[in-house]
Amino acid sequence: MKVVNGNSGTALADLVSRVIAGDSTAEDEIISRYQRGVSIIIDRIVRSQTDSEDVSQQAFKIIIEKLRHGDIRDPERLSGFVCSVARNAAIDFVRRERNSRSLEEVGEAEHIPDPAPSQLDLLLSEEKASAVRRVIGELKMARDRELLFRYFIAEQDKERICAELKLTSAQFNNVIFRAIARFKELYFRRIGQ
Amino acid sequence: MDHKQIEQSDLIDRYVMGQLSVDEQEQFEEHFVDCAVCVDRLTTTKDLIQGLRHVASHQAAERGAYLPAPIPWYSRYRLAPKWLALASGFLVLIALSAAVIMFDRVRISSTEADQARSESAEWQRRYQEERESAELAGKKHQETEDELGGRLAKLQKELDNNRKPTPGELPPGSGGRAISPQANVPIIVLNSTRGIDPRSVANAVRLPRSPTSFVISLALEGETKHRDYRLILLDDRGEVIWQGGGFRRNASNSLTVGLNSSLFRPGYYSLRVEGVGAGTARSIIGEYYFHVTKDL
Repeated sequence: MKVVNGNSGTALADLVSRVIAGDSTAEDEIISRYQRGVSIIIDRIVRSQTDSEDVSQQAFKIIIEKLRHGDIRDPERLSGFVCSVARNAAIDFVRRERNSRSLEEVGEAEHIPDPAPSQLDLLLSEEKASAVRRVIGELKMARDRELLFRYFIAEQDKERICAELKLTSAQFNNVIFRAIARFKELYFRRIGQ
Repeated sequence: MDHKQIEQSDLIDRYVMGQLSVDEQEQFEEHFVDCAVCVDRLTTTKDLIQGLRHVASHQAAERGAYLPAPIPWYSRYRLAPKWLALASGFLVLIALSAAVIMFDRVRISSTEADQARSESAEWQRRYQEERESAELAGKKHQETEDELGGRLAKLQKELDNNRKPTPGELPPGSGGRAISPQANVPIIVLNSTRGIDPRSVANAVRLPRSPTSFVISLALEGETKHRDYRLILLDDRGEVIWQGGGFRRNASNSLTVGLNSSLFRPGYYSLRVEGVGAGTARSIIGEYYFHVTKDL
């Protein structure tokens, strides 16, 4: 599968040139432009909201420094470069964490981080759950509720679910789309965004 | 940006659920890292899945579906590995010992059963032999009995044929009673000779040579004390030839006894008369000597 990015390579090359030229607004523009996407990439590897933010800062620090030094070979492929640095930063973090845990096991660690989720994580988790309950409660058909759980929780194949619940692919997508849209509306309303 | 492809391939959902290949993942990341729409969808989808998992886990906990299984009773009594090994070894030892004992008992029982079978067969063989011997002996006994019976019948027949009844003889089955009267029966009256030389005053008794019966009459001469009397016949050497009791006086105060001449040879004899008193007391009443001669 080949996904074509809609952003033009020329615009990205220009942005990189501005960073190399010392334009700080270009650096802010890059951070603003890629921040959420980079967080998703890093969060998927690190699996911790707090650590993900730290790793993201580290990743953008590396990205800006490399751009300043002109270390990017193909400025038109800036997105690929950003993804690569984000993945490497996340992987380095996980590796360091793993080594740190190994040292802890032999008693050389100076401190042991609390593995429990933070209060913010817990709060956000509760808000998400409340929104989900609301969405599920609003679903009129038991079949739609079953679809959500089988697809997202049991991670069953879409084709299998459609066959067993006697749904077309379009009907399936429609249920998922409406559930996500309603969840987004409720969740963001609850957290004030 | 081709969101149609992303939609058709469910890239957002599959990315959040970690179902993309490495190539698909890198290409999609390169797209969405600079795509606000996809980032929104990704974020929302991820939050929805997290919320669903949270709700599902709470529902499962409320239903008790994820409660740990009850601890089995044997797990409550945990043993240290050392003691567990010792206990296991002990159990194995007991099991082995039981197996050996059972095997030995089975072997002994089998041997005893074989011996019993052998003895039973021996006894059965002996019983068969004894039965055959008994049958053979019974058969021989029957044959002998039949043979003896035949002989006896033959001898009886010969005896009946050869026997010629003499005058005055009681025929078989007469019970000692004379069926036909006997003529000319001699009656000899003897006098008591006690106190004198018996040879000088002996009564003379002349008998025919052929066997014949005769009656001796003994005069008691005033003896009336006893009710019963006993007679004893003695030869000249004093030996008892015959004796008998139950005699009683007749009307002429005499005792009579019937004798056969075959009892006597020529010579001196005496008949001693004893009175039988109360109990077993006896007393000699008289001695009757007589001299027997036989016709030529």
